[in-house]
Amino acid sequence: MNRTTDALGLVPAVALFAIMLLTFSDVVGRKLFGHSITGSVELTELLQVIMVFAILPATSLLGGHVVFDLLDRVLLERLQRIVYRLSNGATGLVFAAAAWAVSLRAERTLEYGDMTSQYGITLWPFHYMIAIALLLTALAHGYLAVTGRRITLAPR
Amino acid sequence: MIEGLIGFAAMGILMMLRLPIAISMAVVGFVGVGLLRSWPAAISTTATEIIGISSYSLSVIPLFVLMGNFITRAGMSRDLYQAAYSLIGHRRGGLSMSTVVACAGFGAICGSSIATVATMARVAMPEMKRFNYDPAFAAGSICAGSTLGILIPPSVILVIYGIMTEQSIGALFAAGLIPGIIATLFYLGACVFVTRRQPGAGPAGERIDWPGRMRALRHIWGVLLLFGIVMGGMYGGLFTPTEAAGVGAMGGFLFALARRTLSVAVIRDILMESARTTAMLFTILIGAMMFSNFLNFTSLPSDLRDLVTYFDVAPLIVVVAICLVYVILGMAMESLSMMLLTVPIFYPLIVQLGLDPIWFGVIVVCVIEISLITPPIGLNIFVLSNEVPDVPTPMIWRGVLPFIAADILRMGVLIAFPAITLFLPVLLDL
Amino acid sequence: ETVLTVSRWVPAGHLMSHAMLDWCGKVKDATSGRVSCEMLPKGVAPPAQTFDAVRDGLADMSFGVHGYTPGRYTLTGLAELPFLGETATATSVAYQRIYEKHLAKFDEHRGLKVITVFTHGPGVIFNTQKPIATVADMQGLKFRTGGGTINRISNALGANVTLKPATESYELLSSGVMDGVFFPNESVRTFKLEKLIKYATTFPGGLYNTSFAFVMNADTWKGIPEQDQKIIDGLSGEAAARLFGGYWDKGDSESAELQHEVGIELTRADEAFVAEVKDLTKDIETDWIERAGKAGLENPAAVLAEFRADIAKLSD
Ligand code: NA
Ligand code: NA
Repeated sequence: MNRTTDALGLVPAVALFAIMLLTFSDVVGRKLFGHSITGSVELTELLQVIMVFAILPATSLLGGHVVFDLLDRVLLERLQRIVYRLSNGATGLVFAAAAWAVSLRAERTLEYGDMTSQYGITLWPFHYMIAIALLLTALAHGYLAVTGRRITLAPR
Repeated sequence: MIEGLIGFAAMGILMMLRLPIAISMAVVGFVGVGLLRSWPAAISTTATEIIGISSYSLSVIPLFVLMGNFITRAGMSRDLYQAAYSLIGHRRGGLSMSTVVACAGFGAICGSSIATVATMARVAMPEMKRFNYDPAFAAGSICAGSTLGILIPPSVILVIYGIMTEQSIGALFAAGLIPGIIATLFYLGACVFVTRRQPGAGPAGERIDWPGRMRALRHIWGVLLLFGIVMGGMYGGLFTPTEAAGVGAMGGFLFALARRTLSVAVIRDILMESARTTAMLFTILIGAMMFSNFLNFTSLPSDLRDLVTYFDVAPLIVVVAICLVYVILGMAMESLSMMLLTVPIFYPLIVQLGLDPIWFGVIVVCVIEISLITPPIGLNIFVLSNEVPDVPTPMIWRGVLPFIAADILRMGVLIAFPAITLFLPVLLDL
Repeated sequence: ETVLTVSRWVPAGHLMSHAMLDWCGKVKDATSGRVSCEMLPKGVAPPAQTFDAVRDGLADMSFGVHGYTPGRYTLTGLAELPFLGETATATSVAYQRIYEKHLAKFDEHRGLKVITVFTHGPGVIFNTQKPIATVADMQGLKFRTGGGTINRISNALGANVTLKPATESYELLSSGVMDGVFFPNESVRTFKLEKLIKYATTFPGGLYNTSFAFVMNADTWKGIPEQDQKIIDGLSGEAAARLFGGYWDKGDSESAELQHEVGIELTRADEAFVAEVKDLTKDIETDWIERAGKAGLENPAAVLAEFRADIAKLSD
């Protein structure tokens, strides 16, 4: 499992590191060289989208969302497993619906030609990327629902 | 009012069915907006809140999470503990007191209570066992001490409150500092109280001579430096709170690097873990925003306000009542979701009553701290019982009781004297 | 009977909230209560997504800023150019006239019924460091902008600009992270900046402006009976532009008074400074003319000239 999540995690890891460097250099540039990094705000925003949505499928796969699992302790193990599968199936459907809602917005972003203000980066590819990431997240929950697996990272 | 209450009930049922809390809030928000407005409107609000996650001001969250994770990896908790131990470890209950002080110090550079409880358990628990501490008292001090980090700046919870209510994060951080110190002192008081009543619970540790103390203190310069840079830079005109998070993360990175605790694989692990935490937090934030958009169309907030106006209740009583609601909710709910759910309802009421929103933010965080250690659902208790499997959970529950009492006492002080909380924000003209 | 749900992304006490409620009151009176408004406790979407939110029916009405979604609106850019007019009322009324006559037919506001377009008052340079009387005075100072045309203007003037949300203005100035902001007079009071700002520089006609629209969901509009539509139309367009512009002007003069009271030093840009700025920013105007032409507007330069002439006439 570690190898899969490592591969899935490379893009968001780089994006987060880039946000850190960008924010830091922005401050240093402004204080030491009298000029901040042009467009650092919009670059941060785009990197943040990449980071959050690229890691979302892996987050779901690893059971990373906060769940109220107090009842787990009182349910019979068989019933517990059924509830686990059903709730993951339902969560998958919700993510799929979210993917669809975002794809509708992405279509409109494309039609409007929305872009960032400093560099004029077109936004629709990012919005479609969010929709695809949500769909992958839905599939991750579907996988958990079908197999009933609980995945944890092996300690390194 | 009725639609709002139905919404809450529906959300409770979905949560019981083990749907993630974020998803439960989102579903109720979606259906609520769909029924009260229209389905296209519900689809629109879903897309808007999801895409809204790109917002620049939210970048403060992953960066503070990252800073905490770098610092944790750098092994700062051990150094902090040893420094505190060298000073007060030889007193009765000294190991618990050292734990509380080390937690407070760790909280000054880390915004998450989970990270604090996990690392402090590994550092402090073996020591306290070695000196035959009452396991309940030992576990209680770790559990409670770890909550200090979300009040002492930087704090992810305060950031999220600031974003939800559009309050200044700089002002919230400044407001959290003195109550955080008071909380630390009250916890120390709780340690003294327990060992006075039951001297066997916390035997004294070894006395360290002054050269030893100096050696231990030398190791914590990194913490002081990082806290100094982040807070000093923020209030000294070098950078904004959002930028402070970036500088802090970079500082944590360089610090962990200098301590030779990082390899490429470790860096990647830390980044991925921080990204996952961010994704989890942001998913809850999306759900909470959708739920709050639904409440916006119900009459619940205004009905609540009318109710308070009608009965002409004193503002103080309202605040105490809100705190009671939080403590009760906090027994059964996860803390962040609890705050995100309730702030859209209580916040307008607080503003209406003319109470200070910054002060209220600190009060909310204090109540959330309590919820982290109240049975049966207390996040810190869960994390700790995973770390120390040989201490039964009910024993931890018993151990945190004196600290909960200290918390309640502190709440009383902060509610009675808002000036304590607002002293720094006013002084700094924020 | 129609109840219009109105959304606002500014605080309840903001002049735009008052202006929208004022307009709603007029509609309610004129329709004998058949059409009325209900203001939501908080905005249904962030500022930049407000037009989308109204288009999708999340709210029936709200107002938005065209510059918040770069790339989407081209023609409305003419109301963001430097040196337009001394009052929000004049620029708003002239803007609405030119919009109705030349721009509306391009349907840049798909899915929306535009009640009126309008602007705020003349844009001012505010800073905490020194009086600004020449372009050279601006060099080395750090300014916050919110993007859009003012970002291009300040870049052209060689200022060190950073894009940050307007709500961060107080924090940025009080901490000394930034030295200045570009705002209409009114915003100094709204964002409580009067204690921080020491110097203001005004330009005849303003250094920049912002293009707004007050809009209604298209389906909501279709659902209103014809007789009431007529009544609302009578209160829309120029009448509404005058109303909104009037609120901005009132805000500007109240804030100017406050600025005077707290002792903010006022510099009025002289002819040399204005000429300097005109020279450095002429690309921005020709760029708009070019893009508007590409968007299909016939003779954009003449439209712009007509707009400026009308503002001048209304200002007399
Ligand atoms: Na902290
Ligand atoms: Na609890």
